[in-house]
Amino acid sequence: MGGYEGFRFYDLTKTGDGGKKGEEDDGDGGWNEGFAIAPEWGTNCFPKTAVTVEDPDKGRPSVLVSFNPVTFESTCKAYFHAMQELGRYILGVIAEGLGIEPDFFEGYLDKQNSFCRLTHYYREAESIKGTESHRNNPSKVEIGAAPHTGKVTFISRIVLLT
Amino acid sequence: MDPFTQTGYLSSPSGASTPFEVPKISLATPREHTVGALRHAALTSGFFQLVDIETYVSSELIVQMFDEARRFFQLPASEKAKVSLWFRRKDEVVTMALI
Repeated sequence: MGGYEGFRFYDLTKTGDGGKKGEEDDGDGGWNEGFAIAPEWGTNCFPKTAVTVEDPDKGRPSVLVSFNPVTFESTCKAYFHAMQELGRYILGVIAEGLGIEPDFFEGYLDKQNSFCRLTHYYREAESIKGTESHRNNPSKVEIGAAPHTGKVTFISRIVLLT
Repeated sequence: MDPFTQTGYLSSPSGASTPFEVPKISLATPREHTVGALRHAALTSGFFQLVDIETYVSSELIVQMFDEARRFFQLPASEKAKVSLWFRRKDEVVTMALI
């Protein structure tokens, strides 16, 4: 199951049984939006339309940014599978370090148990004001990490040399 | 300085904090070395940073993924909503959708 997860606040203060019925119990973190990459669970999750928009990112000169659904999907899939193989190797290394069978965690990597989420954090707390999510949680202004759960989480980052 | 070098602080119960560098685990070394290094990092700092991961994921792919992600998130909300993972009801997240 993949797709877009709208801009909202992930509340880490919930403990597991909290939350209203039908509402997922998220971890703490702050305001962000995300895109879950899950190619093994279906193909409808990927956008289909090419769009060119004006860059809304504050603090930059206004430029046109194009979105190409074909390259987006192929990059997501390539990235997902690369990270999955990295996870497979590292889980094997961890298992070996623990003194258990190196393939102990193999089963956890099948059937889309691994999960990849692109996360977009907002640069300024200001940018969340006026949104629907913020109206529902007016006291929440933190910008932070999304919940990370599971056996092992990899966080990719790049250094922008500008 | 290597822009990827990470530093952190270890706090003791007495309140003292000691700076430390997040250990780097190279995947370009033989597996048995990686096993030892990762185990040591997990037992000491509790954090580690993987380096030399080109075999698994290239720098180009990571940069490309960031670029594509930026382009996606800049789409208008109406476009992103078309692939929404959530159904919303009365401003409340109620269920997962879209398989």
